[in-house]
Amino acid sequence: MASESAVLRHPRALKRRAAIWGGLVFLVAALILGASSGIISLSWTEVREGIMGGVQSDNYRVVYLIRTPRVLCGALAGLNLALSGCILQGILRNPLADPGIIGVTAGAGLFAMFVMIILPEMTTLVPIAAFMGAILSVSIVFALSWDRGIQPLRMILAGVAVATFFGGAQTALMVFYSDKIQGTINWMAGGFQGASWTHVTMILPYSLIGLAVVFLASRWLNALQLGEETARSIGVNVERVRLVLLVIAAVLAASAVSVAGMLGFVGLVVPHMVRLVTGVDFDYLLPASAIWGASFIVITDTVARTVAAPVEIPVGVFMSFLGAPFFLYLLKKGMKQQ
Amino acid sequence: MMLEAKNLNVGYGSRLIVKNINLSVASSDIISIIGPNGSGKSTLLRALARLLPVASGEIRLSGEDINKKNEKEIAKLMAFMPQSTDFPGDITVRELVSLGRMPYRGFLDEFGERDFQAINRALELTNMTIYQHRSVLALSGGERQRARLALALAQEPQLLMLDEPTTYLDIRHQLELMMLIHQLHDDLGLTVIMVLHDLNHAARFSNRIVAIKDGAILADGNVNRVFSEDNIKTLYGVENTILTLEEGGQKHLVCLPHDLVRRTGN
Repeated sequence: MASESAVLRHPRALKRRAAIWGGLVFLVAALILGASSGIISLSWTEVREGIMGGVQSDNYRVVYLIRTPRVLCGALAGLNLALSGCILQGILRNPLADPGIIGVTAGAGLFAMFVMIILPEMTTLVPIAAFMGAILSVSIVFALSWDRGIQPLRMILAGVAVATFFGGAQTALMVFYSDKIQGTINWMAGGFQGASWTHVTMILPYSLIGLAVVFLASRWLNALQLGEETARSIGVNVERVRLVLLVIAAVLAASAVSVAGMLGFVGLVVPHMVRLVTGVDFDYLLPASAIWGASFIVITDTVARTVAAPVEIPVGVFMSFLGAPFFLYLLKKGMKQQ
Repeated sequence: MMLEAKNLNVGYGSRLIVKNINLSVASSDIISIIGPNGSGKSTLLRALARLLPVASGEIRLSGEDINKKNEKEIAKLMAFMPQSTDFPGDITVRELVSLGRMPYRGFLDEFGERDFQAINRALELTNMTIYQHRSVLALSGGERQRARLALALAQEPQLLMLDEPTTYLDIRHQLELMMLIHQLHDDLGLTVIMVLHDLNHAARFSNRIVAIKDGAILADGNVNRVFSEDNIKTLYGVENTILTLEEGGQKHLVCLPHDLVRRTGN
């Protein structure tokens, strides 16, 4: 009982519940909206029949083979990116940390671009190449920042250096193959065009790992917020916890980037927005970030492909235009309260 | 013996800060470590709290080598309150104190009745119960230190280590915190090791003083023996007078440094 009353009397109790339950409702609504809207607009009944019904109907093909994997891919990528950003911000104790900071995006970008330009006949391998590139550059960053455990400050510097190096290689590819970069630009902008069930199965295992982290690791992240010395004093093996969480953050981001391209914004901004509502307690911050990351991408992707139909606005572009002003609004509001 | 350091050397890289220190802490002790800036007193304390790796020698807590013992088991026996003013941002006092239960929680455990008791008790002991639902950011300096002390107490340690706990506090809040620590020693039987800058606090609130100079122990013993004009002069390079004042039926040793020792020769 003591626990319950303490939770209820927390000044943010109501906001926290709203962030999680409201987020869940919003996510479900976004998923349904995403599956039913598009160039061929379908009612909810048609969507249901599309999924449950006969294999041969047109609705089935649209809903089951095109839209459902697309919204699911979006939701899972959003979940992974938001969790990754949230974990990184927690470990580095820096609200500006995002998956780009550990080299994920640079490595994925270079490898994906390499396949698309040099081996255009193998474009189906792009997600796998992007994943491998992300893991490779993250491994380099981790190795460079190792000194009896990963040192956060060294990691940020190593991340910048590695990103610069991989970015230079990308620029070189673009200059030397300027005639072939058309397709790569779309990928770089990020999006879910052509997302299939294969993509869903590629990203799903990592999302499950991410969800496990939500339930198991939030206390570690809370402890790390006390500073290294206090965290150690309460019995946390700081080096080990940091390494495990960083590896998880890296694969979460890598898996998302491999299917969705460069959607850096989500990992940076969603956890930040959520924190303004829930506060820094990771017991609430992690699940709320996961939910809002997922719904944020689903809703922006849906709007991006319908608002100017039949032209699709790249979701990454759309997200920045929508998210950045909203982010600034929240920041300004948060500052006033303090 | 609660805590024992044998031939302890601690350093950064190849430079040794703590040199060949032997120290035995009994469970009834309340020890102040004093010494000039850069003498290695904080380094010694942090090594004893296994926050720094040992270059050579060993530290035993209840007979076991602390660098081989499980972190959680150590955290149940000893708590360390660092000097830093770091706070995780907008969390409540109760949330902060709850983190002190970390070593008692298994991988999948939620907080249990035992945890709530310990948290409530830690809040009571530090008079923080009325502030428990307040954000740590809204606390004054003295309240913040008490909240951090409550976090350490929620670990239910037998040994409490504090690194300059009164830094940044005004004299009232310094006194309040020192009296609280002393009371915890008397009432709970907590063993206390603290690094203090204020010599008069060290003389009043501890039963044993360890004086550190250049990484080695200059003097170690009860207050009356270590707190001498000669020792203070050697330690800090100041001419000083130690006075005995009587106030409220108690004798207090007070050190007045009045001049710098003129360095002759080189």
